[in-house]
Amino acid sequence: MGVAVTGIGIVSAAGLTVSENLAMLKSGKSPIRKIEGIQNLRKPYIGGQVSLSDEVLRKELAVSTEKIVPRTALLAMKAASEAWTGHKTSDEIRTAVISATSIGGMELSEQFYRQFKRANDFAKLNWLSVHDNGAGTNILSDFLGINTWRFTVSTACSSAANAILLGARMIQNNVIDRAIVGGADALCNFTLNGFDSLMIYDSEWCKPFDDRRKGLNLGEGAAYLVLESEESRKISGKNSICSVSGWANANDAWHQTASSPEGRGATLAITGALQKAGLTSEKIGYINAHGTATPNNDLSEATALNNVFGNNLPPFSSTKAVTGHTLAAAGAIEAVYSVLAIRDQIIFPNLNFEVPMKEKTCIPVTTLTSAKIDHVLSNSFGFGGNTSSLVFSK
Amino acid sequence: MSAYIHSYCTISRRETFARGILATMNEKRSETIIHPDFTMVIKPELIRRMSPMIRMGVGAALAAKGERGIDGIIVGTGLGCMENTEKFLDQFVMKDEGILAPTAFIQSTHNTVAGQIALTLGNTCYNSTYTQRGVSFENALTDAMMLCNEIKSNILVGGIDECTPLMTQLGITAGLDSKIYGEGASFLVLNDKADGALSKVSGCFNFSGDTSSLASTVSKFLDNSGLKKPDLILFGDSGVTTSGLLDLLADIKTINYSDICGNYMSNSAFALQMASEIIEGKGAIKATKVLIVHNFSDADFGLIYIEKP
Amino acid sequence: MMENLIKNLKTEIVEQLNLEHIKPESIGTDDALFGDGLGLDSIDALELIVLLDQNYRLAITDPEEGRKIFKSVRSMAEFIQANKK
Repeated sequence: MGVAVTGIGIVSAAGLTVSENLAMLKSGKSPIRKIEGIQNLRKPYIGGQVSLSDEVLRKELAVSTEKIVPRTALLAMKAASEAWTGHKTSDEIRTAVISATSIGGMELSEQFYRQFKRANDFAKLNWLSVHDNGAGTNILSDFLGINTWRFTVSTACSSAANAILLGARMIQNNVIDRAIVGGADALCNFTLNGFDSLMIYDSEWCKPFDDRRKGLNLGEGAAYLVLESEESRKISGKNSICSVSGWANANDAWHQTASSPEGRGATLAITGALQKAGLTSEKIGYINAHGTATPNNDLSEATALNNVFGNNLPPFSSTKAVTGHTLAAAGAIEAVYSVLAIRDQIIFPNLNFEVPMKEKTCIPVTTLTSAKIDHVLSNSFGFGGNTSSLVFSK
Repeated sequence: MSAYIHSYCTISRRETFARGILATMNEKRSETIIHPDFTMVIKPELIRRMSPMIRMGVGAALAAKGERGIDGIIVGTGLGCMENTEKFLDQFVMKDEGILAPTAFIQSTHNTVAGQIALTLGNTCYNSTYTQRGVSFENALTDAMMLCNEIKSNILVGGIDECTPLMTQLGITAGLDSKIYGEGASFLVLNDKADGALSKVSGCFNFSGDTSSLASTVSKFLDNSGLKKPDLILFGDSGVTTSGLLDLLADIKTINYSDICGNYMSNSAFALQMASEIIEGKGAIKATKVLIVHNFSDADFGLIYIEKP
Repeated sequence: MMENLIKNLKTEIVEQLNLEHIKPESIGTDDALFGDGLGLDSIDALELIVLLDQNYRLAITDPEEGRKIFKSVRSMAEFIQANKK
């Protein structure tokens, strides 16, 4: 049964709209390149940057120049407005905003901090008013005109997947009728340096699932989906693109950052999502993997996939060689890609893959492929052992 | 939708860990958190990486859990792990070259407390973290109430925030009164069973609005869930805004709980334990139906209704 | 010289890794730092790389290379002795 998806919106390095992202995914090209425009970069990091400056975004979204708005919130508003097209707030439809972020306003806060620490300069102190994650969600919710049930999930790289599954549960439990769910994260020194300090940031283009992979490239972006109950759709008149039919959240409980070698959390999340959807493993037509290209993650995920699907894996790919790893937004960006896979009956290629990993039978799809797809599995695994999986169905 | 509270624990700037909230609320608040001895319950290999905030979160969670099995761990925190955030910022802001140490970074993510609770317990259950400023705990509580009814099991839910010296300093610079700040961790175990319960949470909601809409929203919230008018309101504000609540519900006894625990984004978790203690008859304050109204910033409101089981 | 280096290293390791529960002198010079010995993990390995960089200006760019060097306090001291600037 599941919960209907009646709107999707996305902004990423791959494009500023759903159709631009789709075109990039189909082209086999990648926009990942040297990151520009961020001050005080320690290294010439490469990553997936959204090709819109804050100034252009603010103009497009009619955000007043006096208002302090972090880039994360600008990206969120852009993607959410595409998803929300044709939707209206209504007294008859109980609506929630469930967003996700890991950096919140940090790209502004770190600029204040630098000036404050090095020069005792307090000029940007009021930028801290939007430091916390919830500030951005309030800005987004005010923008959409939704004043009830505002949530922000922050579970690292699984955040947006958890936002989506919370929305689905709240609808199924009849707490709400509709939710706009997703996440946003912008690039900033804090996360670029953070992943680099863990020695898992590849200075070259990342290679998901490849034996020679060295680490991830970060990305930025935002994506939102609108979920509705049957009753809500009767009032809104919106068509269902597909449904969220399965979900599960588990914890690896192994290490703060590394994934367990046996892929314990991931296995539980995938199994739980299939169970919720009432599906046996062979019903999955495509898996959008988490696939960050770190040596540890990809092996752990491959192990989990083998645990659940045996050696005969369904077609799968990581799209992070196109978007970069967008942290809290990843679960939503990849949810939108999963929805597109069902809508258009296609499997997106895993770019930059040549050499299969030695330890596991795990070979992703490397060219754009048409296929009959009834169900898609999307994985999102993060720090703190947080592992979540979603199933989307026709 | 409702859920039952079966246990709780708060670690704060008073001896609440050992003696609870009502028994200590009139004592002087210390300048820092009063930590119990964590080495009894957390392995040294784990504790060494934990900042004071993570220690108090894990400590309060373990104490609330006791011997019970847990099938959900849900945390609400407005600002997350600030000390570790500051530590990592210090590194790269002050050093233009050289490699950076990763520990502060990995322990700075908002979900570190929930993650470390799972790690300490070796528990692979449902695990989530909410960061919606003044309603971070209400977010967590809503999820926990749904979850314990979905899977019919014990769910550990908590609200936690810390206050670092830098935060206090910056607040003062911005013209705020440092005396209003607080910090703490309050964790509770919820499930769907009334048997043996201490109290019952019968409603939780969050919304954004101004004071003119507050009275009608509260009425609707009570009506929608078939809840009777409360006989006590626990009101939490941030010390910088007033909602006019006291005028609107003038005939109901109101206590400002933020005055007791200090101001921090997730302090409605403290209020929930306090409300439960009141309902259980642990102190001199009498009430059987308590409405917690949390108004952290101008327009954000959290509502929690709690009554006898 | 070596003795002094080993003694200092033990204190620096305890500090860098925040091993609150361990006295530096209790770390056996030839004890395994990882695995069964002190039970350190991958994050500790990265912190030890930072220690070598900050305190001894020695760079290790490959975590795998680190494995051999960080086998014990003695192997760390020998590496420093052999490469110090």
